[in-house]
Amino acid sequence: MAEILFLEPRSGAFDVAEVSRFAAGLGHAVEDAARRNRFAIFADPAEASHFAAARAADLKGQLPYVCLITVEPERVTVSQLCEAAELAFAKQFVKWLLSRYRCSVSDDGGDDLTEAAARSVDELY
Amino acid sequence: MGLDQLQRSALENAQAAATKAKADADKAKNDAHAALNNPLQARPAAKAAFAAADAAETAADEAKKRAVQYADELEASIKDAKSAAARALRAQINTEVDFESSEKQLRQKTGDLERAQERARDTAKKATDAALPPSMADKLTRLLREEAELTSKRDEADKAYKAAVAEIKQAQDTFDLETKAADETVRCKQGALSKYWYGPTVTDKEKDAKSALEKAAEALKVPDETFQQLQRDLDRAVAERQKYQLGIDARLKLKSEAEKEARKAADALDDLNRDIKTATADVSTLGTKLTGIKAMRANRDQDLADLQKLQGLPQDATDSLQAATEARQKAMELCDAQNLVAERLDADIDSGAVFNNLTAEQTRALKGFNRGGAFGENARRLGPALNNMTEAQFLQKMATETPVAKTKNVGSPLGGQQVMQKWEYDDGTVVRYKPDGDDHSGGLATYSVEVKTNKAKADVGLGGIGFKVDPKGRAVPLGPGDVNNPFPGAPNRGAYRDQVMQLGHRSLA
Repeated sequence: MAEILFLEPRSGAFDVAEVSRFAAGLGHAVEDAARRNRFAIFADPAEASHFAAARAADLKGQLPYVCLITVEPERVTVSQLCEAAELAFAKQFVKWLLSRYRCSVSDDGGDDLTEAAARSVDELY
Repeated sequence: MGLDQLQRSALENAQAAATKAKADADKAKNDAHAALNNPLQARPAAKAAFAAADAAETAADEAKKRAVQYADELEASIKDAKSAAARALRAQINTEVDFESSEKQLRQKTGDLERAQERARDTAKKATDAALPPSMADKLTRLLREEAELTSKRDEADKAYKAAVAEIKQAQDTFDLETKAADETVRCKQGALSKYWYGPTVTDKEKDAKSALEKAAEALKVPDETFQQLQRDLDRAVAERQKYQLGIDARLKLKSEAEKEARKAADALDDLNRDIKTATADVSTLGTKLTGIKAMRANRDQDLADLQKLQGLPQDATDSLQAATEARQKAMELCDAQNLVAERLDADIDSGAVFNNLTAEQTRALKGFNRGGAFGENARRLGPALNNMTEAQFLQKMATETPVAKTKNVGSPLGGQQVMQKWEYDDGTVVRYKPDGDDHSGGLATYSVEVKTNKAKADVGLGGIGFKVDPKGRAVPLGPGDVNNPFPGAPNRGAYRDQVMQLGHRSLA
């Protein structure tokens, strides 16, 4: 399974506001104080609160290894080096995104996963 | 009243001390946060944080003491400054009121002056309009000359006439006398005639007197006619002159009135100019006074600002102290947590308890690696060798390794693509390097040392990787899904997960 998925629209651009809204509604999502439209999705609300406070105090600190979704008009990045509970949110998000947009999908190893994703999102996981 | 140099210097020193204390405290806090993200350096970083917190506490204490001391010393002088400032303010208010009043007066008088000037211009114009036309003046001069000539002639005629009249009178008198004498003679003669007759002698004399009288009357006729003619001419000239004189008098009267009005306006102008001069001098004096008072007010404001700054110092120092204390507390808590998590993680990696959910291939590979044989020996070597290297050192080191780097374009967290390099060893070791890193590296380059599950198979990505290798050359899980996390909840569960991930995903400074 890929650590990171890059999803790019095959035509046009992502509706950043709409995609961000969906991401923000997953689990216990916290929008990164250092970058707009980047969300850390936590399964544990306590950890989400802990991260929000720590991030506000130190914007240069490292991001936690949970589901990280970064939304841009030309690309959505899903960093899914996380535990199973958070991986479920990543999968939910990718499934939703692929249902709304025709995307090219690749991973952090540079492999093209578009066909696999077209067959089934499960093939990505 | 401004603060003197010594006091200001003391204030600046106290401010600098408080600022430094706050900076130290902030650094201590940051160090403590940094410690959370770097488990291997948690202990020294926490120690440094403690030291920084101690220094910050000391500096903040010192700053507070000094600030309080200087605040006490200065408060008295500031109090004086405040009361002087209050007096200055009152004086300024009065001066400003005077100033405004003077300015108002000046504006009013200037308006009056402009109106008077306007009136004077009108009057002057009227006077000019009323001035005697030159043609009329010439005519009048001529008439006066003619009148003088006629008067002279008339006087001469009058004189001649009077002479003639006198002559007539004299002739008349002579005639009367002669007549009387003749009458007397006649009477005497008549009386005598009655006695002695002398008739013809008296009659001749009478006849001579009569003749002289008639001649004189005749002579009077010519001067009289001349006189009458001259008198008529004179009357005509006088009448004509009078006619002009009336017009001239009317105009002269108008001119005189206009001049009077102009004089009045000029006097008013003079008065107003005097008033304006006085008012301008007043305004200037008041302006000077106001400038002085403004300077006093600026001094007072500066004093008040100094006081406020000074009064804020103890609070700043207290804040710094509080921040330092919090930093110390935070550092202690973090150190405890980090120690706990780091110690537990270290032990779990050593024992292999850190792994969870491994596949059979992974388990086999892990066992093979832990036996310390040839399998993954480069990973065991490179884990410690590459630790704490800069990016340049890393690339230099990898350039000396046997495998040739393969490259591939992959997504960059900074947008677009980055060129990943991969070194694949015969013993199953794979080293990956990404110049832009990943979402967790904050823009720093990253690398990982990995071991495949089957060294004979070419690398196909994470699907063929058994585990990663940490800076001590030990096997660590690929991802959080492979971690057997002993902590049930935040923050230690997350700390354990993140620390183990950071051991496998290394950042290059």
